[in-house]
Order: sequence, then structure tokens, then C-alpha cells
Amino acid sequence: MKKMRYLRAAAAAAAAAVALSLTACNTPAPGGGDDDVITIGFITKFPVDFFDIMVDAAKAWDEAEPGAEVLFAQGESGTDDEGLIAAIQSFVTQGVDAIAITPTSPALADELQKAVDAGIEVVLIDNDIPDWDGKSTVVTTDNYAGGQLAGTWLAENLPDGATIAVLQGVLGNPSLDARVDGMLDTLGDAAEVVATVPTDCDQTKGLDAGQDIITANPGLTAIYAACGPPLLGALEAVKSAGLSGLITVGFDASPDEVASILAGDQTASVAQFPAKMGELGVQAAFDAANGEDLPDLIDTGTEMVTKDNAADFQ
Amino acid sequence: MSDSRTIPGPAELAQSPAVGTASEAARARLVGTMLWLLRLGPFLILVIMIAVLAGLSPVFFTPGNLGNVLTQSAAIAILAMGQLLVILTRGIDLSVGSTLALAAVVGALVYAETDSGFTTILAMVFTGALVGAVNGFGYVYGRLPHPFIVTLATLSIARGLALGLSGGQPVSGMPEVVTTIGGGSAAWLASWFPNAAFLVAGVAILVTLMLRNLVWGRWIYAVGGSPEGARRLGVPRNGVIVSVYIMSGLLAGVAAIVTAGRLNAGSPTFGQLAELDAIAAVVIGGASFLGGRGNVGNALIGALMIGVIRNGMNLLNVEGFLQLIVIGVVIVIAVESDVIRTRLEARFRVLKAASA
Repeated sequence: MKKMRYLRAAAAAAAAAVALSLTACNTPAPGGGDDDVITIGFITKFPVDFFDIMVDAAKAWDEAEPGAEVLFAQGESGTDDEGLIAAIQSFVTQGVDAIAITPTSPALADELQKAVDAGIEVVLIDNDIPDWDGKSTVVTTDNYAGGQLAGTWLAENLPDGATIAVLQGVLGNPSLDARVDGMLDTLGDAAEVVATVPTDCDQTKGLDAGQDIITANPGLTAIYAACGPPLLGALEAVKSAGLSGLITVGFDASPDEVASILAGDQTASVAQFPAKMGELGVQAAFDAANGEDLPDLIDTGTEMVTKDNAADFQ
Repeated sequence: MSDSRTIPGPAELAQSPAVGTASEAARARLVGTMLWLLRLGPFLILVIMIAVLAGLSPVFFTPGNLGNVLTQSAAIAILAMGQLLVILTRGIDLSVGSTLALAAVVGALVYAETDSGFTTILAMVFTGALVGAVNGFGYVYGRLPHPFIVTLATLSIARGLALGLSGGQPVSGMPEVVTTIGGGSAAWLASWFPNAAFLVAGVAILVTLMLRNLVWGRWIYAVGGSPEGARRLGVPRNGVIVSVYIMSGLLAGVAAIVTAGRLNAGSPTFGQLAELDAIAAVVIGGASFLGGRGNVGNALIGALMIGVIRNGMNLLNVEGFLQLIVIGVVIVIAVESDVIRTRLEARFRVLKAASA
């Protein structure tokens, strides 16, 4: 973390210096694209596990690849558009060859287009900006496919006449909605959906919703959640209602979820692979800078985590 | 404006010193009854909501679900009582949701270090009071134009500290005393009755006593109801204001006990937008947003209304977007009815004076 802050401060200072020198003459930035080494700016949303894992994987990739130098920057929250725009600007002024970024919102498209206009390749990681054509590729979990995976697994494992409750994520967030849509599309007639409640991916709201759903549907068979925290909340409701045998499936396989699966409280979760996103993301940026053609979408995959394989995800 | 802390009965209100004829007496009584009904406004709305939901959902009015409603509104109720004190002085505290998260995270970390339930609770309450103190002193001695600003700053700072201290992840594990208070039920009374309701009742009694029986309580109403009058009377305005922010922060720490206890963890994402729930509860409960008028009952009724709406709509499986719309509409209806009530009250007072 300390190093990242240092790099950020250094990047900001460099940006200021370069901005000044650019007004005088068009000097290439230090570490810029004149030598054989390809520089890649790697920008993540904010300091939580998910993005830290991504950054660590990108660092490991950097150490193994002598032909590239990766610089890092990070925002302060999941919605810190301003911070990410500042990071993009500083990388543009540093003259990097490619930027790999986890965009906080489509609001970044204009700034990213400026980078593309300056001859920089841009790779999006984790979240897409659907209406922006300037990107080289998107490296992400196919959330709809992840939902389908959960739906198929549920269809196979639910008893006849099952009822299921769905804890939605943040309404209007395309990736979270896709997780629910994918699940429902492959679940088919295997279970009757008796409740659909938005939770904002919040643990407390998941607990409240869990209590209410269990009260309204005493014979409930299963709960599916579009993200991890609300399912962990709902598990507390299941516990205090003294229910057993309820099938509970979350999404993300966060450390707490994995612990809960190992303890036998939670049944399963759909795992994403942030490390793969970091590694494949920075690789895609490298390939794009080398002029290679990339597919529109690079899927980093999803996997069902159950008690059998949970130990591998700790 | 500061006289509505108690709800007098119709008889009390209808007492007029000089009643001329029988018909005038009857009219005075009618006016008095109307006034009394108006004062009960928010409570009546709550009762109607409960009746409607009980009709729509067969499980709503079951003991188990009423227990759910009480637990789910406990944290909001405690935050709302703190917010009430602040709003009574014409202030606002936007930081309580973040403070709740910070207190919960600090509590979880302290518990992991010390393994002591007592120290954990102390740490949570103290963390809350500390943020409140920053708000109060920052506002008063920083001579800031409005508490909105300093509490907006601490909203951000407390959330940032919670995220930083916890590394962005929930910290699992809370002492048994916390999980019992927050998530347990009073088995000796009824298995469905949540312990958190006792905590809410305890806080409510304490705050009511402080507001009614201490000079401090009268000062709070004076500072908010009539700042100029309070100044002339020599009320220590600065001290009163600092104290209400400390109380609000401290109660956010108490609310953290409920949330952390229910989830057996301290998470930096606790209490997102809870400050708005708390403010809404105070206002829809019937307290004045402009200070000087309101009581603990208002905050409790408002918190219960929010809890009842959310719970009822989950039971009825109302779609998510509609839930948001309904809550907004209820806020508007409740506050508008408060505005109308205040006007009618003024008019009935004139009528009463005329008939007296």
C-alpha cells in the first residue's frame, strides 16, 4: 500500500512536471514509449481485497515480463470517478503505451477516449463501458454465464417442488442484474421463485430480507444472492430461525463466504477470479500495445465453490 | 413552540377557565378532541399501516414477524433518538451511519485483541462519542456556518477510517454479550421478543427523562425553539450543542451494538445511508425539522413506520423499485400531514381561545 501511494504521489508530481514541460516543447515523458520497454498504467477502483488481489497478480506478471513496466494507481472508493480520471490524466501525461483500468462508471469514457486519441491502448477490466468503442478489449467475469452456472447447479441439486428466494444486488447495475437473469434462465422450472428482494449488496439488508422471506415462506428450500454480503446476512436469519437443510448460494466466494462454506453454514458460491483479471488484463494491455488483435471479451471464468473444493479458494 | 413534549388528553385540553354556556362548552370540547387527534397523527398513520398490512399478509401480524419488525427497526430507532436531540437544537447529524460502521469495526478489532465483552462495548460507545465530540466542537468552536458541513466531513472520515482499519473486509466475531443484545431474544418472556427492543426501550426512557426532568433538556428545547430567547435567558448554547452531538455519536455507538450483534461482525459497510433513515424517522414521526418541537415518541414511531413499511413490502414481495417509491411517498405524506396539522392546530387554538 505504502509503495502504491508513493507511486501515486510520484505519478502526480511527474504529471505536473510533464504538463509544464509540454507547454514549452513536446518532450517525451520519462519512462515513455521510446525505448523497447512497454509501459502500462494499471488503475484499480479502491483498496479492498478484490482489487488488491488483482494488483498483486499484475505485479507478479510485471516481474516475469522484462519487456514491460507496470505503473499503478488507485481510486478511493467504488464510485471515485474523479480519482480515476486524475489517474488516467497522469498516465497520459507520462506517455504510457497502454492503460488497464477497472472503470468506476461510464463517466470515464470521455477521459479514456482522450487517452486513445493520444495513441494509448485501453483495456477495461472487471466492468465494461458498453457504449464506448475506443477500448481494445474487456477482461472480466461473464456475469450472465456465472449466473447460468449457479442456475444449472441449483436445478441439479434442488429437490422436487422446491421454492427459492432471490436476493438481488444493486438495482440498475448491469453485472449484478446479469447474475440474477443468468440464474433464472437456467433454473427453469426446477424451483418456484417465491421472493425477489433488492439488498444493495448490503449485509444488514440481507439479514432483514432473510428474516422477512423466511417468515413469509416457512417451507422455503433455497436462497440465491447476486453478491456475497447479503447472503451472509441472510444466513444469520436462517441460523436464528433454527432452520437446517436450506440451500444457500452466493456470488463472489469472498473470504467470509468460503469460511462459511467450510463451516457448513453456506452451501455454495460462484467464484470470480480477480487474480486472473489482473494477469490477463495487463497481458491484454501488453498485447494491444504490441499491435496484436484481441477478442472483444476475455472471460476470466467462474466456478462453483462448494464444501468439496472450498479449501482451494481460501 | 416548545410545549408539545407531552400529549395532553382531550379533557385536559378542553378545560377552559370561563365556559359561558353548555353549547360553548361542547364546542370547546370538540375543538379539544380535534387537537388531541391531530397530535396523534403519526401514531394513527402507523396503526392504519399495521392494520392494512395485517389484512394483506397473513403472516404480518404474527408474533414472530412483529419480533422481526422490532429487531429491524432497533438500530434506526436508536440513531433516530440521537438525531432527535440534534434536530431539536435546529441541527443535523449526517455522520451517524458512518459512525455506526466505525464503532462496529473498532468493536470487532478490540474484541479480537482483548476477548472482553465489556471492553468491546465500551470501545464502541466511546468511538461513537468521540466522533460526536469532533462534530460538536468542530461546529461550535470552528464557527462553521451549519452542522451539515462538519457532519458531512465526519461522515466521510469515519467511513474512511472504518474501511482502512478493517482493510475493507468485515471483521468476524463479536462477544456473546453483544450478539445476545443485538441478535438474541428474551426467551424468559417470549421466544419471539428481541432483546434489542429492551435496549431501545432503555435508551428511550433515559432520553425522555433527560429531556423532561433535567434543566439540560429544557435548554435543548430553548436553543432550538427560540435561540434569541435562550441567549437572553443565559442558556449555555455552546455547551448544549456540543452535548447533543456527543449524545448522537454515542447513540450511534449503541446502535452499532445492535447491528454488529445481529451479524456477529463489524463491517465497514454497515449503516450505509442510515443517517437518512434516522432523519426521516424523526421527521415522519412528527418532530419539527426546524427545531424546538418533538419528543422521543416521535422518533420511535417514525423508526417503526420505516421498519413496518420495509418488512411489509418484503413479505408481500413488492418489487424493489416500488419499495423505494413507496418509502418516498410515505415520507411526503407524513411530513405534509404534519404541516397541515400544525396549521390546523394554530387555527383550533384560535377557536379555543375565542370560545373561552
